[in-house]
Formats: sequence, structure tokens, C-alpha cells
Amino acid sequence: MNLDCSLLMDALRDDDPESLAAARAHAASCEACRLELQAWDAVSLAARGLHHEWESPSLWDRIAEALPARPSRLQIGGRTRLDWRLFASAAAVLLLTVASLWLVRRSAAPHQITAASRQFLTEQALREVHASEAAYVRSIDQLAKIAEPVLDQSPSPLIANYREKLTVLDAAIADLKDNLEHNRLNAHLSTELVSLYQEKQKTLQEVLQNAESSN
Amino acid sequence: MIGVAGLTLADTPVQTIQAAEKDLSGVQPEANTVPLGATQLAPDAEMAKLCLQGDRLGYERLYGAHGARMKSIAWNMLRNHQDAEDAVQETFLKVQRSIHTYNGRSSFSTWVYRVLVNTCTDVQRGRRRQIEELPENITGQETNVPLRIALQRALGRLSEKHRTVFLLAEVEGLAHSEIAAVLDIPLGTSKGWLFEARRELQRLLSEGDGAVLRRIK
Repeated sequence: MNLDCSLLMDALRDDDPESLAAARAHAASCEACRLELQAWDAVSLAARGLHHEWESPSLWDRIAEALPARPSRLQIGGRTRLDWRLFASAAAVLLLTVASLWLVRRSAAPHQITAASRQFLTEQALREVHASEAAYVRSIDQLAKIAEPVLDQSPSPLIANYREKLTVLDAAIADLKDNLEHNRLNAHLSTELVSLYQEKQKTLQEVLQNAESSN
Repeated sequence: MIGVAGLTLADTPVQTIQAAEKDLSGVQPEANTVPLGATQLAPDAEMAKLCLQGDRLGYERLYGAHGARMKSIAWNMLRNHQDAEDAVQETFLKVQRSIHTYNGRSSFSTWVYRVLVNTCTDVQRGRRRQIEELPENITGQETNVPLRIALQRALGRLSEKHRTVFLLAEVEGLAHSEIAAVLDIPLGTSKGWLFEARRELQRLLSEGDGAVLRRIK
């Protein structure tokens, strides 16, 4: 890349290694540009001297003391503030569903509803829910497979950030699933898990959209 | 189980899968974008994960890896040690409060620096303490001390945007892509503001009685 005096400022504005190298090569044989670059470099050198470090032996202790202990164990995905509303809505939906099913069954066979059949209804609802959940997770896995080549091969920092986010999400999903294994009927954990799956789906979609727009 | 509300078929990504089932082999890498500490993605992800889980260890690692630089940025923006430390502490609390808003578009540390810069800007607007001068012997680097002191004063005369970009780029060594993410501006704007800041600083340092830069030339 050749450069003359009129392009020195453009090279400095571009601020990329190639332009700066060209500017320096030109300045080697041009006194005016050499002085300009010398002043430019002097400011940079002096600026580095403004980086300021000092000992703060008590700062981390202050921060640690101010940080509430593990307050956001279940804040993953930012739904905590909405959790009570989600919980209430979901509980209402579940209640209505179970009540409707119960009424339908009762009207169909009013004298045959026993404790055992109510138990069966609950189990059936659970099975349906788990089947839906499994289908949803499978579709996300399928999406992840399609996005995998982009995530693995793209050197883009944006994709690297998506990769990082997906790692965090997968870890959080695994964590929640583990908790759910021990407490299958915990509605709060289920809601959180759904939120994480939705976030993962959204992220994978963004990865693919990004790859598509880069094409 | 209550989460079933979110598990309807309407939410399955079938359409996206269908749309995506095409050749993506031509994906081009993005140019000129290197995230903050690109070589530290794994520790960054680990820190983010721990912080998301509310684990104090994540914040401790964040402080260990970035605390010194955070203090330096805060000091250069606020020019008061106590204010700088308070800003760093406030940043950690804000990070904890708003960790759920971290969307992964930038690296975790870049996001933290953004919170820090915003915190310092807020402190600047309601500041009480006095401006301090940079001690002459702080860095141990063989820099031109009169120029450094003059530069520090000249920085105070720049606009906020020019000063911030200059501090992040020239003092703290952030890349333009990182600055763009921290300040939420396009990469070209970061380059433009840095160029303007340097030109203005050169002008300020070349004029008047000080004229330290004129002496260099």
C-alpha cells in the first residue's frame, strides 16, 4: 500500500495495522509526516502512562459483603420478577384444565369416578405434558444440529459469543433438570426450565439468521 | 409441570429448522471484531455461568481478572480513588442485579465494562469529591512525565464521548470492536471519535504556554 502526505490523516483515522504501517513507511522519507507521527506516538505513549493501579486490600471484602448471598439461584433468564405472575397464570391454567377434565369425566360417568380414576387423570395429564416437552426438546436439539457447523467453524466473535451463551444455557438447563429429577412437581423449576429452553431456541435462531445474513 | 404453558407446539422451532435447512457453508467471518479478551472466552463463560447461578465465586473471579483494569478506568473517568472504588463496587452490585439482562451478544467482561462506564458517567453527573492529580511515580513506565501531566489535564477539556473513547483505547488498550460494544456504538464511530479525540489533544498540547507537544516536534 503506497501512501502520500495527503493520505496520512486517513491512515491515522482508519487506525488499522496495514494503514499505520503504510503511514510509517511513508514517514521514513517525509520529514513533515515523520514529525506528525512522532507527536501522534508521543500522545499514545503518554496515554499508556495514565493507566493507574493501586492496592485496595479491602475493596473485594467490601464488594463481597455487599453482594447478597446466592440471591439469584433461579434468576436465570431474567424471569424472576415475572415468576409470581407466571406461576399464578400457569397454576390457574392447570387448575382449569384438571377441573374441566374432571367435570367431563364426571358427566360421562358420574357414578364411576373413584380416587383411582382421578389419579389416572393426573397421570395422564402428566404423560401428555412430558410428551409435549420431549417433542419440544427434540425440535430444539434438531435446531442445534443445524446450527452446529456454524457454531463450530465460524471464527466470528459474534458467533463465539453465541457459543458462550449457549454453553451457559446448557449448563443451566442441565442444572435445572437435575433439580427437577428430585422434585418433579415443582412448578417454579418447570417454569424456569421452559424459559431456558425458549432462550436457547431464540439464540439458535439468531445464530442461523446471522449466518444466513452473512451469506 | 406448570411450565406446560410454554411447551405448546406453536413454540416449536419447526419453521426455523425448515428455513435453516440450506447450505450455510458460505458463511463469512466478521471482520474487525475481536471480543474483549478473545483468548479468555472460556474463563469469561465460566464467570458468566457462575454469576448467573448467583455464585459468589464468579464475582470473585471477575474481580481477580478485571478488577485492576476496572479501577483504572473508573479512576481515569472520576479522578478520585474513593469514587473509583465506589464505582467498581457499585458495578458489581449492578452486574448482580441485572445479570439476567446479559444477552450474550458481547463477551461477559465487555458487558461488565459497559456497566462500569455507565456507572462512572452517573457518578460524574452527581459528583461531590475533588479531582485528584495522577501521582508522578505510579506506573513505573519511562514516559514523558510533563507530557503525561499535560495530557491528563487536556483530557479534562475533551467532550465526554471523546474522553471515554480515548481512555478505553489509548489508556486501557481496548480494541475498537470492544469499545464499540462497551459504548454501544458502531465500530466506525469508535474509530472516528478516537481520531477526533487525538487531533483535539494534539491541538491542546501544542498551544499555549505549555505546548509540550510542540517541543517534541
